[in-house]
Amino acid sequence: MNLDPQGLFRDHSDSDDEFELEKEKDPSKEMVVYLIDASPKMFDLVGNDEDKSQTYFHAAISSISQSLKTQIIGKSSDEVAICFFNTKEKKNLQDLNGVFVFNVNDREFLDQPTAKLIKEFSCIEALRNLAGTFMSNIGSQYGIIPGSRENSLYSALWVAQALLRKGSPKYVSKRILVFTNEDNPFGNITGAAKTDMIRTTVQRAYDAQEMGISIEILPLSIPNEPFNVSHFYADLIGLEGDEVAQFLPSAVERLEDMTDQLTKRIFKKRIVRTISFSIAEGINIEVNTYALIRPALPGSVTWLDSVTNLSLKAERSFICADTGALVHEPPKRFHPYKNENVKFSVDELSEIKRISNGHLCLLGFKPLDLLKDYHNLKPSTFIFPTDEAIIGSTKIFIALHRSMLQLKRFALAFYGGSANPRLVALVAQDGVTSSSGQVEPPGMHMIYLPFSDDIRHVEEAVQLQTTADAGVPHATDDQIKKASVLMKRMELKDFSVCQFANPALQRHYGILQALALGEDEMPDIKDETLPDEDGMARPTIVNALEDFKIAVYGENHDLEEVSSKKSSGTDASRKRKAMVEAAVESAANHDWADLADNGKLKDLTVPELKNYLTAHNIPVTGKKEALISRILTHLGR
Amino acid sequence: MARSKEALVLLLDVGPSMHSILPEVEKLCTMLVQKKLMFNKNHEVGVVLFGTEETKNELEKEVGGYENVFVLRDIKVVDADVVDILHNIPRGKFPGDFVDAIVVGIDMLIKKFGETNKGKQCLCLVTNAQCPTKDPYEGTKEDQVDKISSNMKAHGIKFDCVVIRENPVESAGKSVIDENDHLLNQFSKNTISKIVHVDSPLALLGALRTRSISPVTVFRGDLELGSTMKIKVWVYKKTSEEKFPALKKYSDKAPSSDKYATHEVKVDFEYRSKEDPDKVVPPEQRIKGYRYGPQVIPISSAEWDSVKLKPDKGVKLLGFTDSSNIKRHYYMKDVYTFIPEPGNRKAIVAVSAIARAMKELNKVAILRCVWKQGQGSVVIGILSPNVSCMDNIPDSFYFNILPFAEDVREFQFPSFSRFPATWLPNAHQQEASDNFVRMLDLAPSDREEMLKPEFTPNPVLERFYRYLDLKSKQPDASVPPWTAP
Repeated sequence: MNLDPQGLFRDHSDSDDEFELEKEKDPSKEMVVYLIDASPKMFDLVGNDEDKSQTYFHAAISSISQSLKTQIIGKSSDEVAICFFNTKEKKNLQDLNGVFVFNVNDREFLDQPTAKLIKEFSCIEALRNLAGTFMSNIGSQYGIIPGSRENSLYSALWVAQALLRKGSPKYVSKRILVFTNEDNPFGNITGAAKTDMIRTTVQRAYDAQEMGISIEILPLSIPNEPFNVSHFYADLIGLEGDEVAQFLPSAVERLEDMTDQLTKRIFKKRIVRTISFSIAEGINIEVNTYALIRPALPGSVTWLDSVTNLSLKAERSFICADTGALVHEPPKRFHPYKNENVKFSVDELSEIKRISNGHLCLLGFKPLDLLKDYHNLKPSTFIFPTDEAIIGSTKIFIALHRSMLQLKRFALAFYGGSANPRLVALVAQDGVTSSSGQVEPPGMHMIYLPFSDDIRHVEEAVQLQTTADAGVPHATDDQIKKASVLMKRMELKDFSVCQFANPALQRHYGILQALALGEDEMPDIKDETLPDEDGMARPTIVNALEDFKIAVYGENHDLEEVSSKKSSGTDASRKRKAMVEAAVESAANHDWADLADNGKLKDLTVPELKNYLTAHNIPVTGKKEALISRILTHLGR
Repeated sequence: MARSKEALVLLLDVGPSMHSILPEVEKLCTMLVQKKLMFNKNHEVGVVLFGTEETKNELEKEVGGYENVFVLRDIKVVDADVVDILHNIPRGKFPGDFVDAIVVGIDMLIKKFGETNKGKQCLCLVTNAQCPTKDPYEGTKEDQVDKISSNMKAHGIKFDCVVIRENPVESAGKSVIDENDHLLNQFSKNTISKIVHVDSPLALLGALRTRSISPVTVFRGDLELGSTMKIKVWVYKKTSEEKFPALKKYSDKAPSSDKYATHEVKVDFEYRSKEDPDKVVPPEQRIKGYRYGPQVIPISSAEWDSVKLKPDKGVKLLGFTDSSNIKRHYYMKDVYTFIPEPGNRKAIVAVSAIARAMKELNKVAILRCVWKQGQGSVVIGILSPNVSCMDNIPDSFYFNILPFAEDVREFQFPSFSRFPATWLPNAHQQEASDNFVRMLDLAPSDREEMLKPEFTPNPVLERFYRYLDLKSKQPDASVPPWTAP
């Protein structure tokens, strides 16, 4: 199966078995029930600004659909259910009032999200949609009112909990997300009924949490009247002390995260391989390897029959080039050498490649500055010790890790995979944490080094072609100083590796989503990788750049460029010009309109036809018929 | 094409002091010609030995004075014979004079090619340079070297030299060695040459680039520092994995009487509907589908091409940052090198100024690159300086691709300090570890760095080529045993 038919995301050397293995894995699973308050209060406008007339309800719907759109690409095996409460109509397995589970065809209540679900859900409040409006089909009403024993919040939690019954909490993380702008759901009622309702609702929430379900509140707060979590919800989700005060800001952040999430495929933390690391004669430890950085691919391609849209199966067959007979997987390979074919069996070939036992074998240590910038071939692999099979692995690993950090050295090792053994550098990395969590995990990074066969001495080879006589100039101190100034001016503030989203990949996801959901417009993906034009136009930068330019190119560089172009132009462009002129001249020898009318074009030779095309700047490729038809099109016949 | 016709003359020291290392030299040279046989079939190779008992060279006949230099093979297109010759290099009995050998080599190249083939001829000297050279008839040895090297330059002859010395030399031979090294360096000053000193048999195998690949640019154009300031650069691959040769599948169906049989196997793909396995769907009826949740969304290539990302070709600077900001393990792929446009002095100076300022301030540049028009993807990467230590080679940059946000997986790992004390080394153990790391130093100050990637050949490839040659003689030979370096 071709994962990337265009080859957009392929580097020239992927297809390592390690990377293959990784694609097969299933990301860890999550089940989420979105509980959306549909009470009339949710249909109030956010703020008083008429222009941004958006209801709380709409805000909740759009952040959930945004999150679903991200999720369907990122972790499509996760399951979701969407459930409204405080509704007029009811739809749920328990037949409870005021709770409506939203769903579309071909889908269980709690299931993987589908394009149809997202599509219908995101336009649920629109006046015209297939399923009819939210108001007419589901309806909104207050569910907890004085004098009634109905408790819609309680019922909603019950329904959600029932939906999340499947799957063991060991393997699945289960969550209920409540979207509401009502911080005091039992504010309307008083007395014993109120305390009773609060007690049973909180009890229901505790029961759910006992079953490994986490409940989160995503408050949609009203301006001037912040969502007061201590009215009721603090008890529901069991907040204590400081947590109450910190709740609101963190919840707002979470809500923003939901809409601004980067579309990206999420991988579960998974050990690529457990390998034995031989430190010295008789001392082996065990380490796990992880792939922390790998180029993200747009997801697998399935071939379909364009008529039926059913998926196809590829079948491979081997055919003997000499006789045309069908061969089964041929047991031998050959390589031409000295005018004959040298044959190898598959076993012999794998024997050649097997020069190591698959272990990581320490060879020694070198200072970090001997690891050059060009000593790289593919993404690094992270290693972390494990005591599972060999006790003491962690201790030895940490001791080496600390020594290497302190002495500023990396370890050189031989990593003998079954097919592609490599020299590797092991670089110790200390753990780095910031306020947002772990930035760099502690451990070692295995960097794959090139062999002498893989390094090209381009600098010398290029020099050889030109064979400059007078040696080559190097920059003067003044020029270097100007460059330093430029460098300081053009400093990237707070640059961090991988702060950019891949524009091609984001575009891919955007197109896929637009097609799947039948959106009319292709999404406009911002390319974050383009230089900051405004920043570049700042006078300090412009001046520094100009100073540097004058220092290295001289005062009149642009003029010189222009004049050199005018007087000569490059060889190729001059040649092209001459060709066009010649073509125009010879094309004038024929009356093309006449030839075309009388069908005489085919009597001309290909070079003659090409003269016409060249003279009119039309492509000249293809067979004679193609050329003629192009001329006819151009003549308007 | 003319450029593929390169000529190489191997100048091999076979004097007594070289005997111990000659098996490795044989390996190196056979590998070299073997790869030429496979990848550069029309390259030409000549072999000259020096330090031999016998003498056989044209200069000796014409002018005399070139004793103990033996032309083992004239410059001819590579063939199986030269592999066999180099498998078994005759040992010599006399101390070799490498200057004589160089002159004989140059003479062979000039006689063969005259004024043609400039820049495509190469002398490759393998010696330990321990034996004294003769005094010239007139002038000093330095003068002689200057004369020879200007002659080499005039004829566009490249000079590669591998000096191999396994053990530190006793003080007695020191002066000779110093003089020889001085002379060799003198060569490199005036010619296009490379001198490599190695001190282990393994490094010897990696010292010569055994397969010649003509470099191809990935990009030629402007490095845009801003809209008004641009530098003309050429971008090449600096590293690229040399893969295990792709072997063809062998078919034994052809009758043995058929002399023209190719024995090749064609691979044919057929697409069948999963529902109806008997139905073959023709290629034009196939359409690509991408998964979206549980569904597969069909997208035709034409549709795709009309909406996909189409960035404009160009290399743009985003800005500079501290080199410490970018950890080494974020480098994603093989490495590129940015070279100022050859012959363009302005570009050479501009690159040099930036590279040197970067090195001074420990800065790197962040670039956004689209190598080709219509490429459909963008890369972000780090440009780091490569300040040249040679007068005749301009400064350049290395370029490494960095990951995008989607490429990084944020897995959490426990901090070592949170581990139970029994899992952590105590002070004594830590000291032992520190000492171990210090002891196992592969780059001690008093000798060459060991296992340098530049000099370490890929053992699998080496083993394959050795086996290939063996099998061409004995088809049933078994895989040669592997001995770890």
